[in-house]
Amino acid sequence: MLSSFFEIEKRKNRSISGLFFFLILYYFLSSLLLWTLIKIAWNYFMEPDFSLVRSFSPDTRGVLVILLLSSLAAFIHWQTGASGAVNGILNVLRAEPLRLQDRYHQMLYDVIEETSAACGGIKFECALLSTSGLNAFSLADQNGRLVIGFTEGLLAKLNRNQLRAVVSHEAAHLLNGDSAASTLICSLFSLRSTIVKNWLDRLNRESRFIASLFRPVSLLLALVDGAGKIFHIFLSREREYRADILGSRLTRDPLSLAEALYIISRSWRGETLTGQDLSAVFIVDPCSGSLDEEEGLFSDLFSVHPPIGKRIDVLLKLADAGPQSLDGKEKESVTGTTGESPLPDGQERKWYVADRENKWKGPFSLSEIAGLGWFSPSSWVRRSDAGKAVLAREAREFHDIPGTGEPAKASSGACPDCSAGLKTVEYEANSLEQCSGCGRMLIRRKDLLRILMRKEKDFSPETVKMAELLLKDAREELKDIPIRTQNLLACPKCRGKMNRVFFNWNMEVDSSAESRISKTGFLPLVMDKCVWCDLLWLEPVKLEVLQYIYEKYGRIVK
Amino acid sequence: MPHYIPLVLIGVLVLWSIFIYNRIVVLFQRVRNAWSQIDVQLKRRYDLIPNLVEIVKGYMAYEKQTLERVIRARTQAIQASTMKEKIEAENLLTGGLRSLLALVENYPELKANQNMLRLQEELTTTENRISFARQYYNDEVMQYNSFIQSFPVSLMARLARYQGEPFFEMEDPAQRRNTEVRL
Repeated sequence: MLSSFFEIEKRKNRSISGLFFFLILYYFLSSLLLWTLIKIAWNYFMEPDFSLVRSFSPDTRGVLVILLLSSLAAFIHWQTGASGAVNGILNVLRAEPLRLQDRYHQMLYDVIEETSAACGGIKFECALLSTSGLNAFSLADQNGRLVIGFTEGLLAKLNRNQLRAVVSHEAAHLLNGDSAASTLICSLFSLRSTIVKNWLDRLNRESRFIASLFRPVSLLLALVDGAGKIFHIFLSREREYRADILGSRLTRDPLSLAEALYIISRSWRGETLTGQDLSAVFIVDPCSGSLDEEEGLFSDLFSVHPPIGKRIDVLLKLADAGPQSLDGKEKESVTGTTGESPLPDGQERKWYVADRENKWKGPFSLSEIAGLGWFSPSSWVRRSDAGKAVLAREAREFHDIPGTGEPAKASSGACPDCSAGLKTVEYEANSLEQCSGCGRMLIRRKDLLRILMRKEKDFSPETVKMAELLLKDAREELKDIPIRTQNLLACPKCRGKMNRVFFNWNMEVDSSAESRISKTGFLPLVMDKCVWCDLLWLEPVKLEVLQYIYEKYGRIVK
Repeated sequence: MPHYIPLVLIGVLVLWSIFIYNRIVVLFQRVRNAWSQIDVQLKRRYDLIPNLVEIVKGYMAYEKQTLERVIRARTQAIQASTMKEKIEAENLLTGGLRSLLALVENYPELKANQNMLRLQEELTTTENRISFARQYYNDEVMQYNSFIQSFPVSLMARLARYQGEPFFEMEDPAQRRNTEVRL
């Protein structure tokens, strides 16, 4: 096993030198082919006694000139492609750094540090992609930067052991030097055409004529990059198996990696995130092409990911486990099981409460608890019919008892509905701002997707009923549902007027969201939106309804 | 027999000795490096313990003995001079911390303390990092020990006074079953 930075660098340099010589060869052979074709055409039209054999005859001086020029072209291509390869790919993927105030991000950071300890203290950077797709990637450059990336979707779905298994798999790619080669190939042959294409798309919106002038450049780049697919033979499929094995050796836990792959295989992998050409850096192909699931010489040469089922089989054998051990390994979903069994009519729910000496007292009804002198938001409570103890301030039922709302840091701004101050609260491991009076919430659009992907919350029967009713309406056309356009609320942040809008899955969550939820993407759920601050202002129950719908009907690949 | 053959044999032997010696040095340095990685994590744990004691002592007045055991084990670990002593003291400290954190479960108010929650996550990740650093160290020690104990390298190692290094093993058989701390 590679265990020092110097050994990693040595192996990386070896694979990179090999690539450089292959790049010169690539330019040399394509230039030679082009030169020969020009020569044949010239001879055909200009020479009276045209001979195909003579046109192919080698011309030493010409070959040397081509070699020199192709080496120069390869060098320039190399220099422009290799410098800033990692940053270039991270920019194209729109990666973001971790926010350590977020509990999930903190856990990922800790797991990466733990993996770093397992690799002898080698430092890894971390990047996050804000998408519900399930995937992970690794990047490395010649300056010693080693980056492990995760999608928010995968972060929300995996438990700590599975997370560590995936991080170790990516770390194994970095240790093996695989990532250096795949990053470089993506940077040399995919990045430019993607960047130029994105730029042209933007230009096209402003001026079609100017954009059309640049189209040939884009076409040429796409052609060169298409031919660059030959470089994928450098990226053997076997490297994924090797990384699985080495990753399992780091964690001593192949079963968790098998579980993680199984979860990924059953979900959407984020294909709109990237073009197919960047797929080499991901743990599974985001586009899940059919070539990946095939075996044989052609797919071995040109596909960079082996069949996922085979990878899981190998890991299960390593763990001495059967396929049945993968069942039910996803983080538990709370949809449907609301955690609250309905009580018979007229019967009130009772609670046990831990007193100051931490002895359980009760059972009490909510009104009795409100009268207990020693009860506080930090008291532990337990439902009389269930064993799980929680803090009173975390149980929604207790929020009606005065002073039992979450004690929170005061935040800037005031509620546009009731003028009370906003406080910072933790919700699904995210910190959000909430009105201390009416409880409405201020949510950044970016945080909304993160909240929807996480499954820590239980839903009350009322929320479930409301969500199902809304869905029924959403599946029909949105008819004449009235929406207030007068007396618009002011944004708590910028004080500008907010728009009153219907919630739109495609706009607010994921532009590529599947329309399984509703035909148009709209939901008859009205909320306020500040377009300048990119914020949504809504009641907690509406957020719960959205969470319930996303969990139950969100993107699932069968 | 040509007269240069003994010279060639001596030359080969000298080259082989140089190669083997250098290999032993590289492996030995890797073991040192692996140990220093554990040291970094242990230092992190020493820094967390005073915070832990500060938070819990207000709540756990009846658990004075456990607290004292942890503080004593920390002092012993810091003062340990040889690797063997250090390994023993660290095992003692791990045991002490484990029982202290198990006792925290009996104090709901302490468990709900925000500082305690943060500290618990810090301790969880630190303990995991220690166990992974220890796993890495043991892998390196195994490679080094196997090399210097195999024949004929053992002759050269003895001549150069290189000895086998101790593994960082768990003393408590219950801990062997699971390297990861669950708090």
